[in-house]
Amino acid sequence: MILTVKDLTKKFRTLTAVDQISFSVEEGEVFGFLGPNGAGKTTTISMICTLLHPTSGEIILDGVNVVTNPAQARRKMGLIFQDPSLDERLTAAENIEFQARLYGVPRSETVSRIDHLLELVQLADRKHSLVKTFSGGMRRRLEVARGLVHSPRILFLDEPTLGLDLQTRRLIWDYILRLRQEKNIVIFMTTHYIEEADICDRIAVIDRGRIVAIDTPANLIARVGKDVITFITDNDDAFCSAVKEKLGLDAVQFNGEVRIVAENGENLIPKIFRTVQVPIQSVRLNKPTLDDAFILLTGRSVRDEAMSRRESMRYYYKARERK
Amino acid sequence: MSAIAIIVKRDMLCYMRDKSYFISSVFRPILWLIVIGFGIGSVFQTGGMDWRKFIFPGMIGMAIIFTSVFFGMSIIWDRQFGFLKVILVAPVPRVYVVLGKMVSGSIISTVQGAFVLMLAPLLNVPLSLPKVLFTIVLMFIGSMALTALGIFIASRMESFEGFGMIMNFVLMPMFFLSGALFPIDKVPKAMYWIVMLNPVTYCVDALQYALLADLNSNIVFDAIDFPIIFNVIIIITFTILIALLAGANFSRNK
Repeated sequence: MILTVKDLTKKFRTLTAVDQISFSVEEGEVFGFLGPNGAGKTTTISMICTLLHPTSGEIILDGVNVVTNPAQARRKMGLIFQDPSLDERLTAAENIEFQARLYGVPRSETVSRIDHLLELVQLADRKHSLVKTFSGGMRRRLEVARGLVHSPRILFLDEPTLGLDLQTRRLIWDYILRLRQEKNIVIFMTTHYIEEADICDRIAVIDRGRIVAIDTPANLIARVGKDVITFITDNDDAFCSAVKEKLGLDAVQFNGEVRIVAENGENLIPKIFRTVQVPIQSVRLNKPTLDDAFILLTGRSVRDEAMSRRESMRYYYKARERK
Repeated sequence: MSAIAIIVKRDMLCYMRDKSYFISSVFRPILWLIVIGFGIGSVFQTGGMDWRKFIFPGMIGMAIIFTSVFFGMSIIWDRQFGFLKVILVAPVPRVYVVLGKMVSGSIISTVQGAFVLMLAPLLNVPLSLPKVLFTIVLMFIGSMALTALGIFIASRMESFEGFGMIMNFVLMPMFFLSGALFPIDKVPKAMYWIVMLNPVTYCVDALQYALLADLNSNIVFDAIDFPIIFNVIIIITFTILIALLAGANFSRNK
């Protein structure tokens, strides 16, 4: 268990931002916090990263009590913040060097580590360029490299792809997952992009300061229910009766199509092809999505929260900064 | 220790890359010296006291005050750009962070004070090597105190919204009520106490001692109020206190 959080609570005056949450993260895991804006994701991560003092509760990171021994805990973690946090007036190498010195990385190793990390995030050719000249995606990659320079045990990513376009987002995740394999570190991330949560080994769904579910993405989706398989066949009646007879499943004719509702649709389809002799023209499998799971768990969609004016301004500026 | 060094290195790199900041920071005190020293100074040259000479240490003081405090407050920028967070989550004692910033601010501010110092001959303030070195040391000590003050102010501020207020209600009074522009023993009693509580008073007085003590005129009597060692002790005590307070402010994470 690399990280154990117990009954963690944070109150700001009257608002309880994080309400008695408990969870643990295992070695080698990619652990995700999924929730709408304002659910308490950043507050939780800030407490784990020693930026905020919890109102109550316990955080143990790799055997170190984060609340009582923050200095020791800080050495073990790398952080990639929600907001950009590079110094634009420094070069890529200088930004990483700054971090290395703060974390006491031996001078003799610093240069080789910088080269290696820049290589990993494919910024080696921009080593001596000012960050000012970098695009949003390049900056993010540099932040990932910087977060790893002191070889942390766990890497925290708070909405690492906010404000980036889809293609860049995919790229960033490619890098992060590749780095994870190479460095064998635990990744703890928050996101409100449902499609990003899919890459996690386990997800904690957080809503209004509470964890409403912790499970693998597949299991969370399975809570929603069964898959819908839709067939177009040459002979619907024959198909329906064959399915009923051989597999004991109810097939419903609807709008010139045949629908079967079942668990594990992807395993069922080959079985149907094997056992039912009626020619099939097409087949479509609709899986419930993580978004469906989220709606089931919290009663709302991750993104249907109306953004306050301030928040939308923030997003606007973030998006601009990342250009 | 290497944390302090890298903070200073980063600030120096940024300072040297920002040419417009560098140029304007050097020319601001020179401009003031010309306006105040030669413009207003020509009106006030009465009573046997050469006012231009009198205000010269004060002009150096001004360069230092504004540069140091503004530099200290530049932490607000770091906060807004997220860079401060990077420093604050690092396993470095807060006091080291404050100390690193103080050294950076003091180097920059001493360089600027030195530019003003080079104008001494224009005001018939004679310079010698020991005098210049002594002044530079005092400029550095004073800058440490004032940068620490700037950091302390910044540690309480989230954004630059209060900047104008700090400028008008803290910096300007600190400069004007420091004995930089007029002898402090001639001000009304109430004002005198404010002057005495103002740390800048002791910086300016120390600079006046360094630059004017060897002059053969009654300006020495007007300008120098306290023993130099007393000034230095007050400044260093103030520096330590305010730096610890600033460090504590950064540690106390709500």
